[in-house]
Amino acid sequence: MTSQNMDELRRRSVWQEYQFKSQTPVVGPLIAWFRSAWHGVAGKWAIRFIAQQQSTFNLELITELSDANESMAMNDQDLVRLTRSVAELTQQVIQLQRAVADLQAHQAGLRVETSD
Amino acid sequence: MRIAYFSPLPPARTGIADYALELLPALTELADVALYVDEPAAIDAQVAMRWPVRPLAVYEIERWNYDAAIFHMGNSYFHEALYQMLCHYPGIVVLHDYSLHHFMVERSVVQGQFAGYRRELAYALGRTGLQLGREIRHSGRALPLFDWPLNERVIDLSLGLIAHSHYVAARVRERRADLPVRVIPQPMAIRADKIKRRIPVCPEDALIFMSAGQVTPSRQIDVILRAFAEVQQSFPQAHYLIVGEWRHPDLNLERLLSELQLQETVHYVGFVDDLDEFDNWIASADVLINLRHPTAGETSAVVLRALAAGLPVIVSDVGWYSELPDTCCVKVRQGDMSALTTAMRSLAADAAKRQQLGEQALVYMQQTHRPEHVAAQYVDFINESVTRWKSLPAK
Repeated sequence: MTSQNMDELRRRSVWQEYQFKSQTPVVGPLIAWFRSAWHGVAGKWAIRFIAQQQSTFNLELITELSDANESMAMNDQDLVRLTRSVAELTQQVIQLQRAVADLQAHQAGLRVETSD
Repeated sequence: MRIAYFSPLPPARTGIADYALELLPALTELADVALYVDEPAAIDAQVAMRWPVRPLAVYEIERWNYDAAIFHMGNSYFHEALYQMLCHYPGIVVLHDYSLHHFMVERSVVQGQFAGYRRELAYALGRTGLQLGREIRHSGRALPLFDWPLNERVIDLSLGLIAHSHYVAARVRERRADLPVRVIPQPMAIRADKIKRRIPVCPEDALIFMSAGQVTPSRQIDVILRAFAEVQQSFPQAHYLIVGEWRHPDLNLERLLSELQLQETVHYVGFVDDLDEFDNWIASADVLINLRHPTAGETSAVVLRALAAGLPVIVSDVGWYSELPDTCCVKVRQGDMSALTTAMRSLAADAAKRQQLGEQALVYMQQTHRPEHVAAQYVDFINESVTRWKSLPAK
């Protein structure tokens, strides 16, 4: 999740109340007023309650996401430490492989001498 | 000894690619070297003919064949591919610039990935870094390019680190006291064979001051030209050449020259593509000036080229530049215009002093920066690292 995405989510997390409009000429404002008034009687309070719940949930979710992002950044230190540790062990294995190969060559030489 | 070598290579327009050309012939005398790059086909044919060039993608499998991997890290986007490889398969790092902030910005902000930059700030500064990233994003505050080096991840990943100056080494040790760090000078062969160019715009007896390399704001060219304007009044035979790519969008050279009435005596040559030709330009000067403020903890290849050509140089008394011997250069403190003017006047007036500084420069370069000498120190450090890896305690 990029910080751009996070900003956008935060912006959109809070519910905005709908403003009734009408494009109808002359009587348009009257229609918009009527719809708004009807909404005020029938649905406004219930919708506001639900929207408030949704907004709270959204904000909590974003906070969680943001914290997850932060802890990912903080875990970087551990990741780097472990990567370095693996690299050191890899170098150790490489050197051990060389030592084993040298020993095997030496052993083969001894066998030849013994068989002679 | 087998070495996997990760570095920008010619024709990449970076001093670190040129560095490789200085070091590799000598290093190859002491070890088997394979070069790893993201685009082998793009590498200069002369390099590809002389050394095995391998694609980065195969290193994961081939890494078992090498005693050590060397990663040349610098403060530009040329290092992106090898940086990614370093993050997966750490090795010995050669830190060419102490600060990697510009590099981190180029690989994140410039690519439209601000989150990557914020993550790097967080890596370096913890929660303060996250908060700082937020502020930069929301307030449009300028990027703090010279406030934090953002090199912490690279230092933490390193299995060993080579620095070119005690200035950088001391700062690295502050970050990681357990990390083996070695100061090894930048390789630079003597350039006694360089041809002094005849510069048509300058009279035969002209006294030539020069700035060479990229002209960025930190090179202080405006400060230098103001000092030169004063010097020029006492030494009318003095001319100033600027040889290098102009990367200072905020400075209008023509306007500045007009203001200082230097149109006839300051000449902008521009970018010189060919390295030999670039060296010839440097050899044509009498004095090279290379100021730096702020410093990113870099080593200046241009200064070394000038010293290797037997030129006296005037440098800022900061970082790596401070460590240059006083016998071959003049150091001026940041912002001390009077010291700069005095240094320029003094060298303009005294040909014997210029010659003496130049001769000492050659001695210093021969003793300290000879590629064979540097390559031997690389191999010694790698051997020391291998011995340490052999004796690592079981984990």
